Amino acid sequence: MTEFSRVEEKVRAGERLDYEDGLVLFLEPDVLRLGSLANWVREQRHGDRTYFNVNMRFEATNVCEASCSFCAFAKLEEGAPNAHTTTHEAAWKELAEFPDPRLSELHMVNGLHPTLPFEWYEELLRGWKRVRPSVHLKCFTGVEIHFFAQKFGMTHEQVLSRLKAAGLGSLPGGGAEILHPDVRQRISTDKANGAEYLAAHRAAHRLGIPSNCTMLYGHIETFEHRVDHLLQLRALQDDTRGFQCFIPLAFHNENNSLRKLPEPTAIDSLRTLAASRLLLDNFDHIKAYWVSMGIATAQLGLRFGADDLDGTIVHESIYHSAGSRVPMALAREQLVRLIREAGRIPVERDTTYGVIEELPRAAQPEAALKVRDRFAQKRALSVVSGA
Amino acid sequence: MGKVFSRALEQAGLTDLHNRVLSGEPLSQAELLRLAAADLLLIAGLADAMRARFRGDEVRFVRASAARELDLIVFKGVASEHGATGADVLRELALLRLATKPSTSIAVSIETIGLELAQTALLFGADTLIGDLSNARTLPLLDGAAARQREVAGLIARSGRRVTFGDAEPVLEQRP
Repeated sequence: MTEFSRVEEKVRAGERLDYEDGLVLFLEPDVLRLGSLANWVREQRHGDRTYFNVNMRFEATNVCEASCSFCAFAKLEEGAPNAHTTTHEAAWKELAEFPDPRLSELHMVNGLHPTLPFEWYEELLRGWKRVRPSVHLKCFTGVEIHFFAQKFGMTHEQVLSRLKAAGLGSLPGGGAEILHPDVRQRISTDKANGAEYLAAHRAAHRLGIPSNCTMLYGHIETFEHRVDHLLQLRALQDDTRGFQCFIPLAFHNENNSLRKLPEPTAIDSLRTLAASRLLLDNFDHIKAYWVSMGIATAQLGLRFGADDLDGTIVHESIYHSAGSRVPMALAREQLVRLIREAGRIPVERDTTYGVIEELPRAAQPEAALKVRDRFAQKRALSVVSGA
Repeated sequence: MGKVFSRALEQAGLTDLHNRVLSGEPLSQAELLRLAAADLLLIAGLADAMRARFRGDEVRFVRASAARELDLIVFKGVASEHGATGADVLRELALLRLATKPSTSIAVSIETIGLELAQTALLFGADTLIGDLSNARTLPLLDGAAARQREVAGLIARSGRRVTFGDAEPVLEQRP
């Protein structure tokens, strides 16, 4: 029996995978076999149902005290070229005038601004709730929460309680990067360390604030670091059950100091999705974030363990600053079509995975219909030509 | 492909096609029609089994001009009025592999379908990549020809395969 067969048997028997098993997943050369196993687990949990939402991204400021080597978004000080901090009025106007009445979530991630007072953030949230109270505010990474606690002399709980009172609904997962200190100390020295990131999320969960979590992969880390990272997240989830979703984030190499590193490939992204689904046995949702891994890979990821494509986004700066070549936005109809063409059932959700609308699946994928039509006309596969 | 794949094939009533694929016969139109709407990973698994048995694990990386001299079929992608999704493209490619004599080489062009799908195509029946290491638009990789060649070799290795650059122009180390 091969090592992978042994892991496969454990998964099928419902046994928890350990660190060594995790390495077997990342080292298995047969990626389709790995994907099939992850897909089996995904279908046990969700069948063909695949989630998306109508959301918008917002970055209130890109001014940031931290100097992470993978980041192309942050500007170190106000007044630097392309540094930007919104005004309350502009932020509220953007949400108030957002044209899609189906908008259910505002997702905000910011730089660690050195001078904005805490009250500024509270008022930002309160204003959004005034102009569009139905929109869920998924704002501030665990790193930001830790930064506020340090800067303003509060505990994580105090920071989160005040933000919750101002309208905060949940935390996004950004800022996890790689939790292992050997990597984190080389790419992110001046922000929350791994334990502090986890502590911020633990505090949120204690207060009934759900959160997501992430892993930035494909830079200087090893597979050992990835497995360690996933198992740390799994351990916290065992304690709190507060994570809603795990999102692997592919490293991009433009405009940052890691630009000499190759980016992770599509197959690395698929492998990481599949391994995450198999190791994170206490997570309901694994997201194929199309902005991070590309639209085609994210769609294929729905067969490699993922059950969520994220949302319409509308405007995203963090990945696009680092060279992302995907569009800034996908229309709701495009997300629905991607899910249907992957043979899945599109389910529009809110931030906490409440179902807004379940749409019918495609009777057959477009490619299958094309094959049928060609054969009906007794033509061969028309897409082929000799070189 | 393992027990999960075998069981899924069995549940879909497609085990006979797996046996046909391994026998070295291209599938008939009727058999392809049975497969056309099947689970994407099942089609991929069959195409990959055929590729592995009859074409091996070697991936050739060739320039378009060199590809014209080679005995291969180039997969052109899928026309769609809405724009084909990645799943559409890969489904069609896998069906092409299964419809073709197994000893035939099937190539995908990075320029046509993009680097992201081209690498993934290696799991769906392709055994040759057509690309130009000097084209930064279609190969958005690291600077420097030698670095780009290493990166292409790496992305093929990460699909579980090995690469030859036999038909590409030799890449010279660039000096700063």
